[in-house]
Amino acid sequence: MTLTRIILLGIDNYLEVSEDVVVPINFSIADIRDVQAKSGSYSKSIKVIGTKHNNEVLNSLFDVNAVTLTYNLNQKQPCQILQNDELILDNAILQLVNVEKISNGMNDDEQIVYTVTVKDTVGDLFTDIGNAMLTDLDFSDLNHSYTSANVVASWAHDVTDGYKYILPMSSDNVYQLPEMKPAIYLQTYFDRIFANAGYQYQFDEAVTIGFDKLLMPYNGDKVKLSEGYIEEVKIIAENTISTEYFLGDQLIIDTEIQDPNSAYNPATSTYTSEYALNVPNTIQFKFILDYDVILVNSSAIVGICSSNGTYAPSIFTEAIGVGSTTTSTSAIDSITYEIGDLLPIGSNVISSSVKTIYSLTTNVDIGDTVTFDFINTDIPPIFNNIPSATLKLRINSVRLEIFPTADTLGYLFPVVMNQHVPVQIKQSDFIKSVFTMFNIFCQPDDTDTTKIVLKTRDSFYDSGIVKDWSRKLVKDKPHVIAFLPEVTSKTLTLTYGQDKDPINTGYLQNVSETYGQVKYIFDNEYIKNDDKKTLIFGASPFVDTPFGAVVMGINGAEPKTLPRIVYDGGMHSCGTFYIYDYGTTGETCNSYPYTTHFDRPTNPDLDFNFGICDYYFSQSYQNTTLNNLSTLYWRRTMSQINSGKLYIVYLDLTPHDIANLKLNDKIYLDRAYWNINKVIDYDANSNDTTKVELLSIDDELILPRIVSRPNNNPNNASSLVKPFIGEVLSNINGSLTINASNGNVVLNGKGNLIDQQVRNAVVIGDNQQVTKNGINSTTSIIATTDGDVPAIDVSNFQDTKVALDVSNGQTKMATIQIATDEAQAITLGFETGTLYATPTGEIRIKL
Amino acid sequence: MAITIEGQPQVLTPGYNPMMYYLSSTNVNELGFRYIVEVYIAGTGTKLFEKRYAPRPVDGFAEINISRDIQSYLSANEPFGLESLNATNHYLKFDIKFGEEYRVAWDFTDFIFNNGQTGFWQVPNITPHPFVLGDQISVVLDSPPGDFRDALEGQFSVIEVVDAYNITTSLAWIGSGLALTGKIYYSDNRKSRFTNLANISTQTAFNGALDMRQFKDYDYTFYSLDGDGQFLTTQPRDFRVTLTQDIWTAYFHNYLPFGRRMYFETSTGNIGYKSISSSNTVGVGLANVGGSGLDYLTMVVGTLPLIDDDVEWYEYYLCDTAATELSIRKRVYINRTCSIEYYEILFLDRLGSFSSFPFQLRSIDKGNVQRMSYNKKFGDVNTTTNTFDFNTWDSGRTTYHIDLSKDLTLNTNWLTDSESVYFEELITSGFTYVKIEDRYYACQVQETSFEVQRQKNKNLIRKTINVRLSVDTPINV
Repeated sequence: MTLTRIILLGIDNYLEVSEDVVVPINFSIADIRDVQAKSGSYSKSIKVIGTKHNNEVLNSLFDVNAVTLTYNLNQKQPCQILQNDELILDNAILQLVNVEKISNGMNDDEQIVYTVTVKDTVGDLFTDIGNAMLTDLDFSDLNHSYTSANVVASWAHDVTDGYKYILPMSSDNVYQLPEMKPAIYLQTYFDRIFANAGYQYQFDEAVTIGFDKLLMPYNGDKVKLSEGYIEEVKIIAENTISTEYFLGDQLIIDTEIQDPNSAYNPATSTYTSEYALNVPNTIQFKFILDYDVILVNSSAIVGICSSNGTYAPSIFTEAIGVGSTTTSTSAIDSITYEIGDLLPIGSNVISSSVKTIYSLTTNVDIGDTVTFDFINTDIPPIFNNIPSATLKLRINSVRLEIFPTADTLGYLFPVVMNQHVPVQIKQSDFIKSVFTMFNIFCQPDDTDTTKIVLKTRDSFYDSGIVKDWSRKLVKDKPHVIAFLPEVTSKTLTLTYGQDKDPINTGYLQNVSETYGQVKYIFDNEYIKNDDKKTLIFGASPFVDTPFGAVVMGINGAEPKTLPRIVYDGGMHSCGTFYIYDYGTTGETCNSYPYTTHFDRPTNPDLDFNFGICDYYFSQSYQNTTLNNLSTLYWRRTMSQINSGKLYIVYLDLTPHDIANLKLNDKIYLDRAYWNINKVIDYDANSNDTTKVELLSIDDELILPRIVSRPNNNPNNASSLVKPFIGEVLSNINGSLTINASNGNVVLNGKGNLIDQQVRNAVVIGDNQQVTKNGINSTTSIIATTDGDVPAIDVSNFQDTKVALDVSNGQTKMATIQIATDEAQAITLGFETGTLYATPTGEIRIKL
Repeated sequence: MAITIEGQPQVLTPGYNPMMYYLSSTNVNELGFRYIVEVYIAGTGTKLFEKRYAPRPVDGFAEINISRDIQSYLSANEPFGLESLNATNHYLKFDIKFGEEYRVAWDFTDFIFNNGQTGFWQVPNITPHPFVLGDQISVVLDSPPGDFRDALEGQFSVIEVVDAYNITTSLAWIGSGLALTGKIYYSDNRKSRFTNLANISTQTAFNGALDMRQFKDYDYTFYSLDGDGQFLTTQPRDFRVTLTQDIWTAYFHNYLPFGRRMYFETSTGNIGYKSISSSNTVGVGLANVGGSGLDYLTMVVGTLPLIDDDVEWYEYYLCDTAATELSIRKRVYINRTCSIEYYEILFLDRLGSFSSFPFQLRSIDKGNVQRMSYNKKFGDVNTTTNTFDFNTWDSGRTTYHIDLSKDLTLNTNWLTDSESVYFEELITSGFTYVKIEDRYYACQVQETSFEVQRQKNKNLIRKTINVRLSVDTPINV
């Protein structure tokens, strides 16, 4: 006879379990059939009969009209299960799931059965975090001000600080501040996920395996300023008195509505910059205008248009700084006159409207003053028969809003760390992917109901103790030996997610596999199918910089990748490079934080890829390492699958056995040692035998040879490397450019501001304000011995169209080809004068 | 490196009972330690099987039972028409060798700079390392120091073997530091094998299976034919045979020299003998000591036939050529009861002798027929009348195969108490042959249960069994 009771902790009561009710409990920490799946160590539904005592404890919840008094359905109910007064389950969570009622007689609710689930805290954790996203976590305590000084200071951070800035790719040795993005430590995520769910965890191996040094870099688009912040710092001024302006007049906006930092002077209608920023950061000026465009014919006769022309009343924004001036123009309207069009005598309102106009300024320093003037930006028509036609702008009302651009963060802006968390990633998926990386098992702590203990799989099993269950084997029930390869697939690939960035895509194109993956092919020739265990994280190829650093191959300003995991390899020396807050103000550095999938730049000893790559996008590492994720954490599992056995037996397990069961116990049975795969349906309410699945213990198995490859990496000019790195560098140029043009602009530089009116241009060099079509270059792009532009037979050129100013004031369209490198330039036959790209993205001319 | 045999089966042991060996080793605490068991055909290099056993908890002993494997090599020799034979299928002589395997660690005393790479060496040179170029190794420090030298731990390749005490690894030089000791293993869990550290030569397992009581008291010396040895049979002492009943009794050669004889002496004093097969290379022999086995004796006293009308019983025993008795005498009583019908069933008893029971009462011969048929098309066009036509004898449903199995229901005459007990071995034997008109046919006993009747409960004991011939009779269709 068995007496089983479920003790409800906290409310000092218990549930009775009828003798004829099965109380099945499963124990399993991971099923070898699905190596990625991780579960709580036990869980099961249990039927509890509606005895008088149980009904009382559960506040008669069988009655739809019942009001709960002591039992709270929505509160986690800790419980224990006692079998004949032996504690077989402790620190479990009980949940009442449903009540089933049957009435065969006159009364209602004669037979009542409650269904409860009992699970351990690990299972409860995964239930708790359910569909919660990483973005639900709060990292506001890590917020800080966006400066290059803080970026550099973070390089001394460790996991206790929560975050660290990483160094991204660059075509030169100059970074703009927006290229710097913080990465949050993986352990910081773990800490907060568990804490949010009401748990803590213990991971003794965290330091040993480098878990505490893993970073998850920002992976999204450009980080935008939050709407709340913009509203907070926004300046608002207006003028509701109708005012007329002649060309060149400064707009008068003299009523201040909001000016939190007193940066606007209504008396002078002048804004004094409170920010220091470079392209791509801007200060935005938003004008809401109610205006009339007036053309005055002061003569006594009607004007007749004798030459086509357009009036384009515009706002000219001029930021005057110390030694530099930045301007921009924003058209308000456009009124065209053609030959023969008449201009009546007097003031003629030729256009009226209410419009919102945007203007901007960039490359400004704190203290630069900005004013707004009325100008015309097009070639006006000619009225030959009258002395003049005067253009005026009457602004009936104007509202001006001044705020920093929302598109990117700039110097001294607040870095809101919650914005640097990968979006649309479930916390449970995140945890499972990390568990998959390190083959981590989790189980509840023995004593603390809120603590979950994490261990890598090998460590978990190695720490088990030996138990001799030889005499518990029920010999007269079938004991089946299943060969593990039979329950799996022919191949198993452990891989990062295939990212769509140019470098990962290029690797896939060239090698037909994901960067850093490992594929195990099991020996069994009877099985088929391929299984793939894919992380939510993308792989993190590394590349060289021109200044000798080795960095993640991402566009720092807007990575737009899958979430990545990289190792914080500490500081390493390199050539001089700069991080500019604005202008050329910022930090000068000679060392950098190494953050890739290796632990150090040369001769690494740890690799956070699953396997050794066919090639790498940098040759700087010298020798790779065998100590990767698959070697360190998966080789024994794979060996177990390849040649291990699953022994399915019935055992005479007692409540004492269950009470003392550890899922890493080494079971001695049939003259061999086994690990426990599953204990299936141990009936806590009977003395029946229990089905148990056992696994061959690791030291029975020969481990597969670690896959290694010769170091035959292509050089930087190789087609395996260069095009893909080049594409990222090109993307960086795009990210670090303000391109207001809707036309065709070829960028070969960063920090450029392309004006709205630009339609066709080639921009070569950095930090230019491009206002004209054609080639805009900071350096001579055609080098000849006499300095003259040589005659070019444009019919020989192909591909990229550009506009050429041929010095007589006219613009001609030409088509030129930019060779991918110097070698191709020679091949193309234009040995002299052919444009070609350098490895760093510069455009040069073959001499 | 030492293995001790703590326990072993007897030199001659029934193969269907546990054959337990217990071993201990001084190396049980080595990483991945397993005992190795190799079984060879005795005196040869032919390995029959190999097994590995984990040391059991607490005492670290190996607990090895090779019975199930040995059984695969045990069967029975059909003795029909033979006076005696070396029953080579009835036994297995084997050598058993014990060894061990474990992950051998090579102890290094320091890490060193080897041409830009990190090497490991052992100074002073005591134990040469086992590694060769290309080996993948796993380095474990005795005490990780918690500084840059922790990088010494991990998986590396051997890229150079400097000498027997110095290897260079794929780990680039990590820099100088205080000496560190540790161990190097093969990375693939490879174990080093040390075989034949202890062995037992020439053990014999025979085709026998004893119940718990018998096995508990089993002593192989009882069967050693050196004066009072017993035959390998469980025949009762008052066993009766008819004059035609064959009995092939099994005996353990125990290195019998050639020239052994089976003597027979009757209750009337007749004595005869016949030479039997013996060889010091053979374990178990079979000799026919009943029925036709008594036809060609060399008579010492009296004349053939040995069993005349006055003989009540006879005894058989093994002697050398000088008539020195080497075994106990086994008595067999003559069954002269009348037969209504007569069948014999020969069976292999639990110690490997072929014994038999006569079935002298009415028998029933039954056949089981199983037809397989199908309904086939009949009729065709009549070219004279241009209509569908058919013969009345055309087959529609047609038999295409018939299975016929024949069962015999046989009845014994009255059995003695001990015969009733012995009859259980017939019911449960895996080798049974029914003798019909002096020919043996393989058959299978159909009984799935039985009752061991004793005379204290039932004075007259008679048994009925059903047997099915092993080969079905073909039917022409």
